[in-house]
Amino acid sequence: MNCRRLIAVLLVLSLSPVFASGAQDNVTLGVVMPFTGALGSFGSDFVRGVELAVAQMNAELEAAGSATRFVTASADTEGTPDGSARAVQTVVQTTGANVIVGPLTTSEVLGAKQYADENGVVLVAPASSGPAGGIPGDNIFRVMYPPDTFSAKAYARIAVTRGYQNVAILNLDDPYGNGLADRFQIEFAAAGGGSTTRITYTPDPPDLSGEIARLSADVASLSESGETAVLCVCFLGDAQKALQLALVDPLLGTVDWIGNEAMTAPELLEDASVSAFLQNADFVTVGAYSTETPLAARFAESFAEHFGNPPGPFTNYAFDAANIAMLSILAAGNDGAAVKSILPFISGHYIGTTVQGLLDDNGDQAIAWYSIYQINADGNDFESVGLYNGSADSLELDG
Amino acid sequence: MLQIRDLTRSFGGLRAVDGVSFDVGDGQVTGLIGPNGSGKSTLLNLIAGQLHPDTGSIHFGGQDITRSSPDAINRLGLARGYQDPALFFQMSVLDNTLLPAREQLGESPWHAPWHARWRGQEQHNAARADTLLERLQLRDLFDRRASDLSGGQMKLLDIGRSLSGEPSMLLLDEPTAGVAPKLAREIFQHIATLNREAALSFLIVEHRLDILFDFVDQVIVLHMGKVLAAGKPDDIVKDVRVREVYFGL
Amino acid sequence: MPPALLITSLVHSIQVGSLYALMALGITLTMRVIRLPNFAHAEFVTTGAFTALVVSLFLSRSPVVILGLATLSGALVALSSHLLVFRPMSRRKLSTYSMLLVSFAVGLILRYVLFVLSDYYQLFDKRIQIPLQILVRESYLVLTNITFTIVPVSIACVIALALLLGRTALGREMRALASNPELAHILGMRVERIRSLTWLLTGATAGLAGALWGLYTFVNPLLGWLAILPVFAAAILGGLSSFAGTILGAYLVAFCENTLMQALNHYTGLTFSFKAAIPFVIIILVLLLRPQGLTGFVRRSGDLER
Repeated sequence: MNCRRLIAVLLVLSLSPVFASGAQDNVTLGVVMPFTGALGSFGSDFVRGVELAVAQMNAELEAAGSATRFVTASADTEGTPDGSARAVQTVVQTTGANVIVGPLTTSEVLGAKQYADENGVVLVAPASSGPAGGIPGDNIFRVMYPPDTFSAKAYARIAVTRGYQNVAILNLDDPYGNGLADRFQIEFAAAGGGSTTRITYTPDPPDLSGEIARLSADVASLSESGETAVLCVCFLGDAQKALQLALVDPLLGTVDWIGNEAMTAPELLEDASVSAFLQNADFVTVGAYSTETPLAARFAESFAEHFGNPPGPFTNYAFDAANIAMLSILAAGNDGAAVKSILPFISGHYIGTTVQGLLDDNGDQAIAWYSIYQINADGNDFESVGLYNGSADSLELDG
Repeated sequence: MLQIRDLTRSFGGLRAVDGVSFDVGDGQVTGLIGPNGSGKSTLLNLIAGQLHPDTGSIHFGGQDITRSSPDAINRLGLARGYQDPALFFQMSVLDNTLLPAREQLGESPWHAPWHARWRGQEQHNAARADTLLERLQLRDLFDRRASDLSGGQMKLLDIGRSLSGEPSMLLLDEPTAGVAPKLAREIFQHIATLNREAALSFLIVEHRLDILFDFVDQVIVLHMGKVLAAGKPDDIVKDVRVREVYFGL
Repeated sequence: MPPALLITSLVHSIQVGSLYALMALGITLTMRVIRLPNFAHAEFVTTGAFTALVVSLFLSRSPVVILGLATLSGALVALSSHLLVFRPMSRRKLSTYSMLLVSFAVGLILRYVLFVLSDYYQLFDKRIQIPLQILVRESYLVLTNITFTIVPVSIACVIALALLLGRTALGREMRALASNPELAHILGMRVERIRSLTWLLTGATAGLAGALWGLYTFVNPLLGWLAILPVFAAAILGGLSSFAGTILGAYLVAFCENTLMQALNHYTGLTFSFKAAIPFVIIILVLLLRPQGLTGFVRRSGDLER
């Protein structure tokens, strides 16, 4: 087939849904997620969460005799800020979507922010928590998953409660990592903590040896003025690299370690020497509280039925975000400004798979519960050992 | 040794080589002369296989090589030297002479890692290269890079490189171009020695007729793609037609 | 600078430098003999790393088997890329720039095939299953079995490659092909065979380097691609032609990334995020000030020099 004919056929194919729409009133719900890159598998699962919400909503709309149907249009952010901006633009320009579920990380959210604000497009991000994304009055709503201003407090409270005078921080050099580390330094000082040091590293580093050597030197100098711990704000893969190097460091095995949510992963403990190292370091992490509403079980069941496998971590947030977005459109019409105006109200009255979606002035999730995790007795998984209530700033540890 | 019959090759409308026939006998040194554009270079390229003729035939050592590829012709023992020396300039003089040696064990990936398997052969080849370089008076320069040699030395090395493949005949394209007269004569003396001692045949394109005529057995004169005259140097010098077109007399 | 930092960073410089040298030699070899700045080299490396990972997970934990099969896989991938893509493409007489883009494309395809496979089989960020052992512990100096694998194997491989190229008839023909391919062809060298062998060798060193790199950190589909920039910096320091220059360049880049970076961090507070910029800076400085690289400082007859 020659090239021109191929293009013609592709054009016709791409137009066909327009003709097929018939009497229905189709509303496009955009989805932008990373499908490629390190977070690619997250993105694919999130889209399924959205598709499940849309399918359920369409079935209910049909049963109720409504002419409205939702269709999804997705694009790949490639996991980067630029890619995210392009993905949002692509979805908006090719389908006319006004409301988009996604993107995933805070850096992707910030990458797409300018385009969304300027073009009146509403972004409903289900898992972005970097404090840098907490901006009042913008077109970005970060539902369900609380911002790290809360988790930073949780880390500070744990550090002070455990009696650490100083903390050496190793964090990812991106809006999430820097945001969390910045907030932690503020909260730790406010809670009466001593000195902190910071080492940042580029995401996906080929090699972390320099950073770990420096971390060891920081721990050496901080330890002179009191008990010191390491706070690690890393992606799982980077954390594995860091720990592999820490294993052979003479000093890093002698202090306690605190980790972020991504490190609350049993994969981290597959390596027996890493598991032993972390147990010895009294390793503690803070993760989203695993409360479940009755909706959660139904969601998991439908998801498995639809796609043949159980939902991945956080996929329920994408499901909730899609429901909040669709309910807002149904309430106020498919218009960016109208959805922006009503979404906080709808979200505040929506109880999803985990918590009530009450939002603060920044358009961020305002109800924040965190679980505190430690390694179990077998050394092969994490178990919850306490609870932190972000709204009330109260920490309860079991036993 | 080399038989050329009715060789024709055109470029567009121009007949660069037009019905050329001649023979080079075993152990003969043949000079190929003619004014610029007479078709000498085209003829050399046809013989060496870099061009293929429209009609006619070339036989070398009894074999038809009319349409053979340059490397096949080279393997048969017909080697070619170039006007601008064709060398591996980044490599040493010794490496340049060693490269064309045939059936080297060390060039096989199965043998290369085992030094003992090819050491003997390599020493033999090196000894031969040594003799060759000695003969061409390049021995002292064996570890120099080819690009560091003088123009005349490059010409000699080009010949030496051609020789190390143990050819039976050499095609040379202006071996003395751009070389001082004294060295030019030396180059021809080397050629004469090789011809005598190794029974090598030569076909030499050359402008310096004064030197050439002292060393060749036979001269072919090309003019506008055709053989104008062929014969012993003394006869050619006397030939009226040659004097007209070539010497402008 | 505290002695702990100095010693650790020097150990890492040597370790990473050896790996860079092994990878950069492959790039220099293809650059000179095939005349291709081969960016797909990164993915040959990654392929080796993944093979090592899969072998260590399912087949054998013997380092010899792991490294051997990784070497083989790299060689096979390189040879297939040559036979399926690079040779047909170069027969179309594409310019070096077009060939460079082709190599990008080959790398991209390989990389995403590895992405898909590792996603499907859950092989992201896994470690090659050779347990870590500390063999030397002298105050600040800590050396593991990994160090004692990476450094000697890389150096031995580099020396073997240098000997092959400098001392054997095969190496001589490779250098001849690098120097004057037309003449090599006329002289009746089996040019195609030498090209294929060059690809095999490049691929083998890349596969081995990938397995060793995987031992050093973790295996993921970006492994080779993330390392390719410092490796190109090393090759450019070697003028993309000199063997000795490339090896020196590799250790120099590793030294800048580790010890120099550590010193900059210590004395000026420059964050480690700038580490990724070091190879860029080196490439730009070399191209601006000394495009021929380190050649001229180091020159040996065995080199693939200009």
